[in-house]
Amino acid sequence: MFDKVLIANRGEIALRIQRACHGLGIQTVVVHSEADRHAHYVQNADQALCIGPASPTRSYLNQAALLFAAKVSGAQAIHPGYGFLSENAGFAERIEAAGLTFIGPSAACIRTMGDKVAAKRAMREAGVPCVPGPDSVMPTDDASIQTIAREIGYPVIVKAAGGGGGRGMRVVKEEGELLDAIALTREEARLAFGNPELYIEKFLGHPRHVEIQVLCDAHGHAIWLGCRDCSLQRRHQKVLEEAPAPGIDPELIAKVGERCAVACRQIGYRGVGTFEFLYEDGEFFFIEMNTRLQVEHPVTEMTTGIDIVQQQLRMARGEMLELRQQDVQLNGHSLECRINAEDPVTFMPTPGLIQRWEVPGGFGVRVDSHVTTGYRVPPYYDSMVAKVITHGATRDEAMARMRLALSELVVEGISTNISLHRDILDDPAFCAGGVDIHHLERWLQQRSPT
Amino acid sequence: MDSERIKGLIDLLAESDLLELSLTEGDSTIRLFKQAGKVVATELAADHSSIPPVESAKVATPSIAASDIKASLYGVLHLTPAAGEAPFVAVGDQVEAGQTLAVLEAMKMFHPVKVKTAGQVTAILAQSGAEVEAGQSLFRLG
Repeated sequence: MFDKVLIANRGEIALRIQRACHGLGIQTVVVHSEADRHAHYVQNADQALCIGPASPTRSYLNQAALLFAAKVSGAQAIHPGYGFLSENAGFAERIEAAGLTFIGPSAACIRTMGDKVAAKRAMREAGVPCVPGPDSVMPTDDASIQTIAREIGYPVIVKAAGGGGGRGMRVVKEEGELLDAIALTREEARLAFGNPELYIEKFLGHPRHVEIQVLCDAHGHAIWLGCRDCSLQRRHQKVLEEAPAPGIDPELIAKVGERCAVACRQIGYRGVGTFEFLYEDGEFFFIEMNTRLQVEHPVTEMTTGIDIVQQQLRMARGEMLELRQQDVQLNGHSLECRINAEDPVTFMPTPGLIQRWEVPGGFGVRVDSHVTTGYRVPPYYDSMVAKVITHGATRDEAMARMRLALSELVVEGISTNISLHRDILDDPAFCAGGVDIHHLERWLQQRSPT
Repeated sequence: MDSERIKGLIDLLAESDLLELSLTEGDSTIRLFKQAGKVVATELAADHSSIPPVESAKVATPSIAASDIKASLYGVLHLTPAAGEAPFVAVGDQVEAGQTLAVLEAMKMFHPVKVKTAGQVTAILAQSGAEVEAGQSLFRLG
């Protein structure tokens, strides 16, 4: 059992993990690049180690440096956070080979879920509903491909087996476009993911993005912690998330949640994970599994009262899951706004010095952020500077608290997307609940004069 | 630091995946870094912070002039399209309106630095890989 964790990440999630560790009496080693040296959370770590220059490939993605940092600091476990190396099976393997604990599932599970075709097959076997289409790699002869697409029915979507997160895919509306689209996507997949294999699915026209959070121990127990709606996206990046997904029959969600828990037991999943679904016309369709902690985990924490990161650490320590499915009670509604250092209209990034930083507070308001007044947002990494999270007995109450919280949040020195969030919270369609994944892009297009 | 110890560190670095290694013991600091597969050592005197290797490049004294091409945002300047490739432009080059002179990297996004009017590049005012401030002069046109 470990009592010292190396946090192989940066920013708000490094701080979130540090807090969870300290809450459990676990010591933390925060590794950082030269660009993050002066961040407040780095100063607050039990131990801080610089692992390289600002460029992520030479610091946060430098596996040898991370392993060496664990060795010299005496950390027995590594938490990868999200992004960077969190879904890298090779890194998980190297950690285990060094006799340390990777805080996450096994390398084999990461590998299976990283291959979207293998993941789909595993989900079908566990009875998780999937998007119509074969769970096998596409054949290479034109006639067979056309037959498959015809059986699915147009429009179809061609996807890279090595893709994910909205990359490596192309929609095909009719048979005449099919073979060209496949040739293009195959070449992109070969270049982007080093894996030219493709698969083909039914294209859904107006789905919502709904996901299920799971929590599993290493002893064969798995539970699900409700669902989240992350339909508000721009260029496949989530902007605002909520829990639960509004207007979906709780019995249907429970049925899908149960299937996710079954799938976890079948594949021997350990730790926290997320099953992502498209939801359209009352049906769920599995798209992919994220084998790590998610940015939007706080909305689930607010509605279940469960500290997901502490649970993740305890599962990695080999503890038995104390919670049973009936212990998971969903309470009220929660929203999360991702505050980014970017222009709210042009979406150009705005790194730079934050001259004033005042965070909101009060009942049902939570802010997860590593930023303090005088912090310089570096130009090397993701643009997210804070997550503002609210909770209320109802969705309306959570939204009202969010409007208030956003009005209290003061950021001077750089532009942020706070005003975009305020506008979204005034959008009648969003307020009614249940918009699809194209809503935000459509809405942005309509409001822009160009 | 004795030479046997330094030799040992050189071997350690050569066998590892690391690109750089610096070690401070008492009042001496040694900094090792790999250059094209070879390990290079610099021993620094006490209280001197390590200085990264700088490529020799002609850099003019920055001052603001009307014909300067400035950074539109705070970010990392790249004078080449990709690592190891030839630079977009060199001093003395004739450039056309709309031509890309460099790219600025900010938060995983790349923004081209374009020239509005044709001219000749008379100076490059910042180094590739450097952080530049919004409004900082990058190129001077004659």
